[in-house]
Amino acid sequence: MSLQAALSGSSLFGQLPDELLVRLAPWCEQRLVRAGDVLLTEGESASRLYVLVSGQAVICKNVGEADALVARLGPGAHLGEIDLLDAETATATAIMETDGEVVQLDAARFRQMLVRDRQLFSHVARVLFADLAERVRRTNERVRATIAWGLDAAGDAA
Amino acid sequence: MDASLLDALEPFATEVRLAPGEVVVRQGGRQDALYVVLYGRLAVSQAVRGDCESVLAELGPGASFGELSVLDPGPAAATVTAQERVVLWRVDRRSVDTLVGDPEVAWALLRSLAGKVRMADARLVEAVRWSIEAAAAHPGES
Repeated sequence: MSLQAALSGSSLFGQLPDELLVRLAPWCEQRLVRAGDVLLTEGESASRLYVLVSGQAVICKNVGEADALVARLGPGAHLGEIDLLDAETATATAIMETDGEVVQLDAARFRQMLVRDRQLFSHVARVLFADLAERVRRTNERVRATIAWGLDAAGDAA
Repeated sequence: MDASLLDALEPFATEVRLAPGEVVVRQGGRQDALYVVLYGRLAVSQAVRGDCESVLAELGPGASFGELSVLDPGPAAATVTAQERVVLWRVDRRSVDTLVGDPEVAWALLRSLAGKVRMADARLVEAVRWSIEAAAAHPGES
């Protein structure tokens, strides 16, 4: 699959018109991955966004003393968008469950895009804004539901 | 919020003064501005159920809120209340939309939003831990 076609199948970048996907493709890199490959390790430095082109990945997060399976991602999903922006540490571990293919965008390349193709950068920034805003909303709702469950479970005694 | 972003926002900002207890954003209500705290402290809270409110964060000078609804319009996710005398900058949605056309401003806002995602993730982990402990302390009551 061409890089542009891979990007157009992404829930994030698929919103961009073809003309912008053509311009975005050279900033990204496409590679094959194997089952068991670790894309992100919670707590370790990370600085790239991945789009899953084919295959499945699982996201795990350490909660207390256990690792919880947070999500299972399939083709079109993306991960690492926060690491792309602040290049700090990954908030979860992502492991390929099957063989597959990913497209990656490195933080350093994204910063170069800001200088060399400002218009493209602004368009990519807008799709990222909507994605991050939706993620915060979704997480806040899960926080609310989790606390409500805890209150119910504790019979309001906690 | 970083200094370059504050410089970019300043020409578009209007000053808002709040008395203690005054609500600037109400959960579920319409929100159409980005705010930067210049002075004072505010509480960010979310209704968990009809009878219970959870304080999510406290905001002080330099903190911002409202990015979510400005960049991706929707109802406010939380209520923001002044805890003391507060001075804010208010930048309306149209101005933010214009400003985001500048990639450097877009970059600074993306980084600010990334910080909010990390905070929300950390709150979720805390909420899960708290709920598991609360349920374990009161077995059979759920």
